[in-house]
Amino acid sequence: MKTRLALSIFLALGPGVLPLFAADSTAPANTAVCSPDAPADDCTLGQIYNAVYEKSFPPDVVTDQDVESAVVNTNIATTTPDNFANRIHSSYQDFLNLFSFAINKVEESKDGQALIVRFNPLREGRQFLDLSVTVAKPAVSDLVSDAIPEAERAATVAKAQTGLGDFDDVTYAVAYSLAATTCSWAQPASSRCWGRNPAIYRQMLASVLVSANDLAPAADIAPDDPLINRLIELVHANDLFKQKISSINAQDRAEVVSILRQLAAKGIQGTRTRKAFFTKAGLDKLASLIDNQPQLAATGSYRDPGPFGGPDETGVSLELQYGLMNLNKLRRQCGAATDCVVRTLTGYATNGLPTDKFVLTASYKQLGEYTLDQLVIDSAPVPGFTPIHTKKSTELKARLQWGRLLSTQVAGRNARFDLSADGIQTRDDAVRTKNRWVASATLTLPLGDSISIPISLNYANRPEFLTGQTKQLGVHLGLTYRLPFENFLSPAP
Amino acid sequence: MKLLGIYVENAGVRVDLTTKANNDVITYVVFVRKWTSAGPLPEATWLPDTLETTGGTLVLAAERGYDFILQAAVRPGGKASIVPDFRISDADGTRYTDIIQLPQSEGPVVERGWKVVIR
Repeated sequence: MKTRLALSIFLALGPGVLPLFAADSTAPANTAVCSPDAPADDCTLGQIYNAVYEKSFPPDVVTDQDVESAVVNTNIATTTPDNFANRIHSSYQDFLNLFSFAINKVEESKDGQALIVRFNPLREGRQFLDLSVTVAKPAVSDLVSDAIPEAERAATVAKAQTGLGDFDDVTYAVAYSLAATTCSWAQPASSRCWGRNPAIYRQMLASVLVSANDLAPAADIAPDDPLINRLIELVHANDLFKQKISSINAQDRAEVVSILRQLAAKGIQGTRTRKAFFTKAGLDKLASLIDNQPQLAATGSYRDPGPFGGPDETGVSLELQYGLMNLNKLRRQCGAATDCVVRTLTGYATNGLPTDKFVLTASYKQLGEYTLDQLVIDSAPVPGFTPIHTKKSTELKARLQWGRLLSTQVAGRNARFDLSADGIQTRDDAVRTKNRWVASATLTLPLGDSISIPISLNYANRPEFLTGQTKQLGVHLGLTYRLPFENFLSPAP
Repeated sequence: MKLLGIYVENAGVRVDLTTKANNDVITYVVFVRKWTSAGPLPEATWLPDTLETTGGTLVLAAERGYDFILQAAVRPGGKASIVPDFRISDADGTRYTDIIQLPQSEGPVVERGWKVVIR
């Protein structure tokens, strides 16, 4: 068996937003049970306070739609997962343990057909390097099975399958990324902060919060406010909110509940005032500015799919995304002057944030030369097998997209304009066989939540690359309708 | 602002706070305000780098009281939350460690506070 070399290069810049931990879906704070109208005995004063407050500002809860989607998805018929990955995992567990100092994670794919070993990422300043090896269940490719006489095909493929080794289909992967570890207003304006992980920007954006807070209207309850003084008199403890209502003298409970109502009402009023202020100050735009930060992701792979799996595959791709207005631009405009940042954000709240976004994607794929003169199973060639010889082929793809929301509104929603250009170049055995260039400009007019009308102007170097057109240039007018229940039809993420 | 707790403490106790935020929290700050006989005054401002590493610490003086105000900018459409460890070095070892949900209904900036009354 030939020595297998598999190498993947996976370059990724700008890690996506990954939660540190899942947001807790605490039940709505006993709002009903601990209602101040008739709180249960085991309700704490904090829960009664929360019940009043949360009537005005409810916590985020799982919606019925989320629940129904989950139910729909769990009702999809499933087959028993293949145990290939599990078997490999178990067989080589002791071996993998020897490398535990270097292995970050060993995971089995959902369908059980691949085992992925991820090594500890290496980091040097802004550079990230990730390595992984994927061992997939080897299979006989269609290219090979089609070369077997039809009458013998099923049985021969099954035999060939049993002769494949566990490590016949292996992919080694390398991941490289470049992402800022921190970003600050004081950095030179010429430097760029890459990546969209909020943790990178949290410290610098905190100063914006401090500056905005200096301007925010106060919402104070003094520690010796008469309400709090009275509560302390009635509740003999140092942690007032942790006390159960049943621990309060029966004749004082109504007054305690009344004080909690009043404190919550003051809190609600303060929150309303400050919410209006912070919204007007444009602080809701901070998330968009992070999402517009430049992000570069490049991936590459080399896969050897085994002796009967067809040609080796090599692929590299690169994706660059950024929004026109982002934190880097704000840093260049304002430097360390956070009052300038606050003013700019206020301007966005009034005039809107520019929505231009750019995406550049380029990918290269190469299929190696593949030769299989005879199919040998159990030391005997399969009779009637058609020899296979495929040449090396390559495909180069590039795509550039730009889009923005227009200020023009249709049915209360902003129209959208997108431009995209696609290029594909394929070569077979170093001879260029196809060049395909397609460009389109699309204006999307919304008509409510579910309906939109896209109008596209399309160009292609050959008409057959465009659907339903006989000329190189054409216009498409469409109607898009999102089904109201499409969430239920979507597979779980 | 929604109150998370009201505590009655003696001067001299120490308050320590560490936090950990999820990725739907864009940024956050803890303002410490002391109430003097003349009114409220800023005492300290704790930023994320401090809160998530060494934590903020303050020994309470003989003032009227203190407010510890957590202010967080949250991602629209997200489910932001912060896990705090708010400790008061009193005889009871008073702590507040419940996960703090930062709901969309209060966004874009959500405020939570602990109030300490000095007796």
